[in-house]
Amino acid sequence: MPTYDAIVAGSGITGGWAAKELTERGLSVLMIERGPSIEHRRDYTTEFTPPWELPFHGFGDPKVLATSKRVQQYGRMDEWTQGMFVDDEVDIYETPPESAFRWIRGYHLGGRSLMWGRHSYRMAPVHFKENTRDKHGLPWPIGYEDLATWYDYVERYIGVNGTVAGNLPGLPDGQYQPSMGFSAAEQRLADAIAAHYNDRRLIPGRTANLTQPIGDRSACNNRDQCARGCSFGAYFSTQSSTLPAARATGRLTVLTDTIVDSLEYDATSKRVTGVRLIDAKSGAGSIARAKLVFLCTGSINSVGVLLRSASEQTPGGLGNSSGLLGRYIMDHAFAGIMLTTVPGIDDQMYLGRKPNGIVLPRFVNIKEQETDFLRGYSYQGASGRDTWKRGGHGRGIGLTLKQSLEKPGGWIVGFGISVECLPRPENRATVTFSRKDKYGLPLMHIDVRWSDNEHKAAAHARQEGRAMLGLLGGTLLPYSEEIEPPGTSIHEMGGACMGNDPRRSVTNRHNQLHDAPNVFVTDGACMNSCGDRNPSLSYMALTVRAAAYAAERFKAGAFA
Amino acid sequence: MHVDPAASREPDRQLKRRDLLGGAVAALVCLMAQAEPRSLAERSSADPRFSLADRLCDLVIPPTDTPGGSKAGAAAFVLLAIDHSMNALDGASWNAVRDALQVAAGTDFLRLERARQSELLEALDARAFGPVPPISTPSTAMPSTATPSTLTASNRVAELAWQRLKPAIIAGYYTSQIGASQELVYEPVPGPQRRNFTLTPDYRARSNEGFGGAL
Repeated sequence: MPTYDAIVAGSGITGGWAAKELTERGLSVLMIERGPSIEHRRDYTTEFTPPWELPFHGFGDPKVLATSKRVQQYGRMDEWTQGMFVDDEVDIYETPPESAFRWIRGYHLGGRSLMWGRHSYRMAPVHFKENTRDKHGLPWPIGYEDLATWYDYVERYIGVNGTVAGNLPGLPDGQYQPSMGFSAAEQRLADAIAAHYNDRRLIPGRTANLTQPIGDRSACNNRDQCARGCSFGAYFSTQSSTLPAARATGRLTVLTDTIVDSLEYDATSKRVTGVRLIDAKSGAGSIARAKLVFLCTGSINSVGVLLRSASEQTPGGLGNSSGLLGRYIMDHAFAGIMLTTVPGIDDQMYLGRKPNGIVLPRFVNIKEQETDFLRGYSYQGASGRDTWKRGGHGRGIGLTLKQSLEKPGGWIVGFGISVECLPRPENRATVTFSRKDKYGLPLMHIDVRWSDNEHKAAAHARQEGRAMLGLLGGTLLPYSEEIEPPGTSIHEMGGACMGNDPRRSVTNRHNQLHDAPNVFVTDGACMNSCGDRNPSLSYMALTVRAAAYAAERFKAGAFA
Repeated sequence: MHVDPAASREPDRQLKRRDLLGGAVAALVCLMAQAEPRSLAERSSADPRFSLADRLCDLVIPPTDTPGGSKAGAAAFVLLAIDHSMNALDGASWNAVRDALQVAAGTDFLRLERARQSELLEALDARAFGPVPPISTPSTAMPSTATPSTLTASNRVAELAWQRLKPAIIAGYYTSQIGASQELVYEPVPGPQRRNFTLTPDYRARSNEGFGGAL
């Protein structure tokens, strides 16, 4: 195997971006993916499958849901997409009952970029300051201003539809394609909130679905089934967007079915000299060499690679001289979904199933501390007409029922609650070296628990949610008062937090390991706080920023 | 498949030329390549439950200008749902509904006139979904057989069982090819969205909106 300029471990959202940026800046790149290849269009095997061709008509086999998908089913998984998610009986991990962490993953080329939720929001300036302000977590070594131009660049490239909302205090604006807009129910809710509150605004969601073509990616056809894969290329994924760009340079080599075991470290030069690999099919080991390594395997797995890279010189794992590697794991506390019926607009309808909805950005504790909990939360929701399923849950049979179901049911609108999780060092990912999976890799052990702060914020959010939805005069549907287990938001992050002080952080302001500067960690592991919103856009901006820096330093001979 | 008059009248509901560039072409090729339908495995009519399941599906969704539950093959899905415990369905649920109808009929339910069958099923449905709110907690004590003397006590059991069975009938029909694409509009590629127009009487619901999730 030749020596490459860079190895990118992982092919998901950040791996794809790292490969694109590094190859376009002239570096030869080996991209390593632990799962099988999925080629754009060709391998979206259920994209056009109607429900009557599926064994369980799209509802899934209960036995599968109880076994091999018992955790994964909490992601955007259904009978069409279940092949995109890992096997819970093969890709095992440990989590104590008090945590019950749901680790939802896709091990294949493109990773979770194929199944992601596509909501793309910038972190707000306040998010970068709060660790310092309330002394939870490690201080960010960068601020919003360090990422703003990279956000611009990423948004334009991936294509985000949305509205410019006037730079709300809790949500900066960006570079948007035309918005997918509001449905009638969403507009009614937005109007009611605007009329009643001065401190908050409901706006259309911002998702990485095209409303205008980009290159050979066509505009969204409003199928709302993105996670099956989209042959139109209408949502951002590695396959539709960054991988073709990287391949077009002629400098990319992709190695699938290959697991990154650990990194080979040379203590003299303080450099990583190779990546130890396991062939996922044969179990054979090998080593790949490059001058640079980008770790983009997902937060928990990137932490695992570094912890498994322990050596005589780095007994606690590579990059762990601070003792903080694997600490400050976070996810957004998903505090339930609140829905209401919407009277008075049953004559209003839509065509097409827009893969987008609504968002109500954070409005508490921005300028000053207002509540008995720290930080805040946001809402993200959608609307629609009740479907034919209502026929199974209400009175009526025969002709009357059949005729009724030929028409759309009543309107429903609502939102889920996303609460910022405080960064806490006791929320950790570690490695249990005594237990191994089928590939011989020691198991990851994930212990993340909600604190009183998340519970207080969730209760506050429910109370405010009830009041806002109540403005519509409909019937509020039953909702849960519980926070779902950590991992459910599929926004796990932290574990290799950034900082200027090597004694108090794992990576520096350019995402380099303090202890091995030719290793960049640019997936969610580098995050010092999680904010209250979908983080993928921030991961992308951080990756692009780091890749630009790495390429510049590479050309200057820093990694020779 | 129904033609949606609103869609055909609206030029922006058609795939535009620019959509036929690049990705759209490949996507449509994929769509056409999957034209051969494969239905859920045919349930053997020898299954002793099939006749009743088939009739129940047809009573719930009768034939009109489009085929009903029987022709759509909804019973096959219902039996699959029972055999795989979908929606907390199980053999006991099935037996409870069957026995309640048999006793109400005073003879073999399937020997009754269709109109009478419909009356009896409607009565069970009214009790299950009537003034008393549906109870979603699965019961663990459903009798596998019933006699007139036990039915008074087990009426509620049958009603709870019907609350679980009926969603499977509805799902079986509206996810069948007939229910999804003849009775309702099956719209795999809607194209550009159209927001906030006034419904017209000829609007037909899209089956796609109910696919996936729970029954």
